[in-house]
Amino acid sequence: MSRFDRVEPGAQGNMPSDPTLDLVLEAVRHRYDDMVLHPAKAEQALVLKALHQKRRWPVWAFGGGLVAVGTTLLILLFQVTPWSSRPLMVTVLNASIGEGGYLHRSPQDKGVVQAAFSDGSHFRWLKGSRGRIRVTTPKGATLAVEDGTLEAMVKPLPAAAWSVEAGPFVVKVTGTAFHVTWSGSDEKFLLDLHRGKVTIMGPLVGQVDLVGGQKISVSLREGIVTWANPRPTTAPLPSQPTREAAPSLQTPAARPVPRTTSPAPKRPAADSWSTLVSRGDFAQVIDDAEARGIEKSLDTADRVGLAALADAARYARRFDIAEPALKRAMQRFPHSIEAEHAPFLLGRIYDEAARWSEAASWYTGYLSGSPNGSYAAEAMGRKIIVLSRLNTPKDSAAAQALAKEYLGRFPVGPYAQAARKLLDLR
Amino acid sequence: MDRVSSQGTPPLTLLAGGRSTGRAMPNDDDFALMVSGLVRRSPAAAAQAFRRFAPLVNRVLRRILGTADVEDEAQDVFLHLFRRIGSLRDPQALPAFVLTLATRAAQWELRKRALRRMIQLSPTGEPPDQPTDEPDWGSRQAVRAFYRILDGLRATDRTAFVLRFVEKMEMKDVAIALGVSESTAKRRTSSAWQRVQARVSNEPALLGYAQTAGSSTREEGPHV
Repeated sequence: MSRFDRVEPGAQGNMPSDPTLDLVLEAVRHRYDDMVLHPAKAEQALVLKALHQKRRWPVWAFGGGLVAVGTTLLILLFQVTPWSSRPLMVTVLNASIGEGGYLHRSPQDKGVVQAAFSDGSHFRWLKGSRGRIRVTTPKGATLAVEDGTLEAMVKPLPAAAWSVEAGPFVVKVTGTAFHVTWSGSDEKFLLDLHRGKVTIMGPLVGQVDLVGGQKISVSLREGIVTWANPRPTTAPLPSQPTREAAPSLQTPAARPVPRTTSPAPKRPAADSWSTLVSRGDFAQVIDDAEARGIEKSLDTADRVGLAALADAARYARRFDIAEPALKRAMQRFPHSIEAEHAPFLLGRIYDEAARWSEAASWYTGYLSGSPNGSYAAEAMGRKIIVLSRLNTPKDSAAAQALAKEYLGRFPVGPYAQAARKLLDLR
Repeated sequence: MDRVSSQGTPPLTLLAGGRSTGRAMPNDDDFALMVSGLVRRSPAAAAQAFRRFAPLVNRVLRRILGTADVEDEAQDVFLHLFRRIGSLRDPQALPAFVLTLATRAAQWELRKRALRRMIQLSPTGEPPDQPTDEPDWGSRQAVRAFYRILDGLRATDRTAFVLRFVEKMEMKDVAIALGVSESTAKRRTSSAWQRVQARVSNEPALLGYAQTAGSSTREEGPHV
């Protein structure tokens, strides 16, 4: 036994003790406690950073990276083109840049929000759009459309690196002009490429190059990809199923689900449902589940698999599968994140089926279980809409009360305009 | 990391010392869910992990570094957690994993301070002390004197000392947090204790504080 173990036991077994030091240690414990300063703000900043942090390369890659960087530096030294390590300067019109790069319009700001970069590139968020400038680099920037339409004119310069994030889609740009639209509430993406060339990465489309004159629209909820003008042939693309009327909950959808028709490599059979969903292959997930038997799948799939099945069914508008999958997730995994989100997603399903009363009930359920949850703003906003549509005095009064609450909590949220309209506010 | 995940580490209550984290201890399944969510980069899981572990991380960082403002370091800990969660094999080891990351972040900061001292960016290597509304001036001075003593220790010895004697962690937990064997952890804490004790007994500010605080404690009588 060491001297350490032989000393007089303190508060925790073999702790040594010294009267002076004990008092000082107690003072330290008292002074430095476990309080978290500004927890909500810290949590929000952290979650945003976590979502956007880049993947780290393994240590061995640094050797190769150093060689590559050295070579690049040598090339740059011999180039005549001036080179700067400073990020591009940006001037924002009709808005101010807030935390996280969000562009905030004040009531005094008239006209569309614009960002003009020092290399000559220019962006405009059209009326009613929300967006932000995520990061600027010496060669470009990453911008985002949270909701609405962004008009982009990127100066074609050597090694320019620009990207635009629109929901789950990323548009990589070198030099071009285009409009990109993202609607978070409808899960719809639209890109109209006027000239130049871009690469789009995202669900249902995988990675695809577009050239000037092409247009693409993707509806995640309906699983539809629509092309205007000649389709590119260089990348795997989904087929073009025809749009049909929204199926009701009682009628299983017969709408074809997009499938990849290009010569993409065959997937190994062992791909998990969540992997398939992340690739946009919703039909494969549904086929698998149907082959096993839907009831059996709902009873035996693990938590992640069940969530993937629900997602695939929602995106493919197979509400006859999505609804029981979400309900089963709530029953089988009541403390999971999926169960927490399920009432909101069920609300969306009923909402789309124009069953306002049930939709309102599910939104209420979600908001009472997760008043500050990820979908709280969306659930409140949708609930305001569905209550208004019920059009009874009681529901209208409830919608107005909720609209007031919404404006208090989310004054610049996506449903703020609808809430103001309902309250007859300007 | 493998070490943490393969040892079947104790639950967080053992690691948290005498203080509560202010939240109910989640059951084992919660850690599995949390880890699964973090691996999928779910924002909700990231927020949940922050809410669950921020008090622990803040406390450990503050006590090792001796400063109240640890926001940046705490954020680094969580970013590391989200980035490296894939290397955690056993979800039940999540609290120990978080503690290890916090300990490493603190040690990294201590080394940076030492470097700053070396190149004389600042006499102490620390940013200026934050303003405080703490009324107890004597206790504040004592704590500052104590951390001046800790500044004389190596980063690992200082960390071992704080985890063992301030956090009151079990020796096996100290060893896990430091990524060393239990016997090495014992040697470090023992040697750190002796060095700190010797310096405390020669530090007038601390001896004076002990006299004042000791007498006031006696006057108040024992706590029941």
